[in-house]
Amino acid sequence: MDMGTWYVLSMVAYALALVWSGWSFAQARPSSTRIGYGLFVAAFALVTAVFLARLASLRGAADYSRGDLALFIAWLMITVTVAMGRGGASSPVALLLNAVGFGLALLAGGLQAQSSAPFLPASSLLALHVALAVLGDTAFAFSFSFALMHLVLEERLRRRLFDRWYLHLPSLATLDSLALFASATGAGLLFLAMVTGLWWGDRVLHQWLLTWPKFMVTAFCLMLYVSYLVWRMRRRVATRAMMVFQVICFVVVLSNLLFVGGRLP
Amino acid sequence: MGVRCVNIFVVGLSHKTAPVELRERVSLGETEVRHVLTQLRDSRTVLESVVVSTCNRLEIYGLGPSARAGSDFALAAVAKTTGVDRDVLWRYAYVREGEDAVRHGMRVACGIDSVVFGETQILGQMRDAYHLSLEEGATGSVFNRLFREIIHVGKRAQTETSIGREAVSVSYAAVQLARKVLGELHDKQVVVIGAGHMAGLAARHFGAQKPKSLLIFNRTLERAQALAAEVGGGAHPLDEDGIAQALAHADVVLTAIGQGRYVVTKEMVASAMMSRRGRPLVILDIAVPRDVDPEVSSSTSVYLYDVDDLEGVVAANLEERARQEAAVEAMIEEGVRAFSQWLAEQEVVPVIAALHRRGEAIEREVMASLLRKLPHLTERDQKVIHKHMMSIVHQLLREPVKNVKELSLQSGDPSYAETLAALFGLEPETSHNRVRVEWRQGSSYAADAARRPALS
Repeated sequence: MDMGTWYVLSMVAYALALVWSGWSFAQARPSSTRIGYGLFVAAFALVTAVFLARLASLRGAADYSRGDLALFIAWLMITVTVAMGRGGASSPVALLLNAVGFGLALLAGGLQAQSSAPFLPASSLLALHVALAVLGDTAFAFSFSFALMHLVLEERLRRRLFDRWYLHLPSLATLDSLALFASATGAGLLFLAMVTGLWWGDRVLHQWLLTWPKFMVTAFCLMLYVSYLVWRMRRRVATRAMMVFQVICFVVVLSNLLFVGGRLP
Repeated sequence: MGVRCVNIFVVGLSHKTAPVELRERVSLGETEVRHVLTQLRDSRTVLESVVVSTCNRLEIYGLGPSARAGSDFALAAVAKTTGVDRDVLWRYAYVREGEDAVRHGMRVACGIDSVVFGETQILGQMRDAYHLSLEEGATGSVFNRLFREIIHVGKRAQTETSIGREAVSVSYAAVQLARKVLGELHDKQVVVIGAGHMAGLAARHFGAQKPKSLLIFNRTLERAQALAAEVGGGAHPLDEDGIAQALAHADVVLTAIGQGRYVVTKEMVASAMMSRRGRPLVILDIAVPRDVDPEVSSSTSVYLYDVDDLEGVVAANLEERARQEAAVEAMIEEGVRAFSQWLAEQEVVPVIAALHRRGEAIEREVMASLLRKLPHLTERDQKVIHKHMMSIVHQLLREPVKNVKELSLQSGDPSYAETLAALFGLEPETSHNRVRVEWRQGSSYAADAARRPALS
């Protein structure tokens, strides 16, 4: 089987795991929780195989594509779910995390189809830049998931809808803290990624890439997250508004990933 | 055969079968329970017993030759202790036997049979009841094992499911709701307005969360001070300025006065929110008529809930507990199977032990005979011969022992162990003074409801 077939298989397993666990959460049946967890383990194994096969096909860290990045974030989310154990896999936290993860995994397939040959001269500085950027985007994906959970719970608390989502999601304060931690981590990593990227440009290409569209949009993303962090620390805005802002921030990060090319000028 | 067949049974009255007038008359204190246990222990009708007495149930778990005779004797002991007529007790009693009795005990321990589905207090009460029986010498090997299994299943239900985790009272639901918004309350400031019954209950629940501060506001300062002293907080007289000041700093405000006018107004909250910088404020109004102007919830950082909302939380929690029932029932079935297997082992283990003893005795006899005939054998030769003879004994017994164990455990039929004992002539040693628990024929019955007289 070629990698495309493996990818399709892994997406089918992932979709099944997500749908089954959602149904199992709604029904609260222990036997179906077990099956849901089994499906997540199967999806984890398949996505890991696809991801490792992709890594093996790369000649260097800088050869990664936007699809690889999306797949990596999705893989991390399944890994967290599997690590949460049987009970956690059918919790609303896992469901929302994996809804985001599944979306990114599908996106990965679409982006992979458009991927082109590597174009950047490799160096260890570039590898460090790539690693920092990937980890930063992953932290933002988690922050986005926590913001979504916050909005879901907030909506229930406002509408007095005391259903299973209300019962099983962590408190608003916990979700707020998690989103803050993930955003702060992501912003720190992104800043370091930008510094190493600029440094690499100076050393390898002998130019500061300050006017490069990718750099400018990334700087805009960083500015958005820093604004969120400042607002959050000063608590000038209601938490709900900050969570909506978090969602907007991640949409900009995704747009940067999808629409702003990585080609050098 | 010297085997006595006995039954496990439970006879009792609960909120499901008996009115409160009767339940309160048969609710036994520790001394009375000891009295009943002594009567049961001294009888030949009940060999082992445990008495569980709570405000909603009185149950006597017994082991005896006849479940009916044992139940009758147990109710007679209760009648003698409480002065309630035995016939009246019988009219409201239910009896479960064998597997049904064991399953019932586990259901009770898990809180499935309680007035509030999934309540956790009953597990502690059953544990205490068992320890009391143990102290009184009223339990033996069967009930020691049975109650360990019952308590184990009850603990599993509490730790592995959320059956007893969610709040089922309005006052505790208030705490749960506050925690859903604010997380842990240990660094939060709580204000309770009122010092009546409901405010007191809520203040105790909030006090148990060890908040940073807990202030009680009340018209009568003495009542506020008494409650504050109990829950470890401060007391203030009920005045508008004091409440307005408290609103600026509080994270949770609970009101339970119900005096017919708003104690917390929209203006007070709006003014407080100016200085709170978006920090969320949870307001729980459990008074009827309401103490808090519903308009205060228009502020984005204010979470206002009234008593209807809290009842909605309680209803959702009860629904969630009921959803866990299937998982708990599965644990109960595992517990029943484990106990059943243990009972089956009790039939076969003594026979196997006796068989090994017989083999060792034969080896000793043969060894003695050999030494008489060959006195020149060195100590090393004797050791080698002993080792090889024991090896023959063990190899010879390995297969029959393994097979009889498997067949007995799989079928639950004690006749395999009996046959093995008969084949090796072990019967007089192994079956002396033994009891066999009749297990498979579980049944239950209750008095005809139509015959129940009204209690005067």
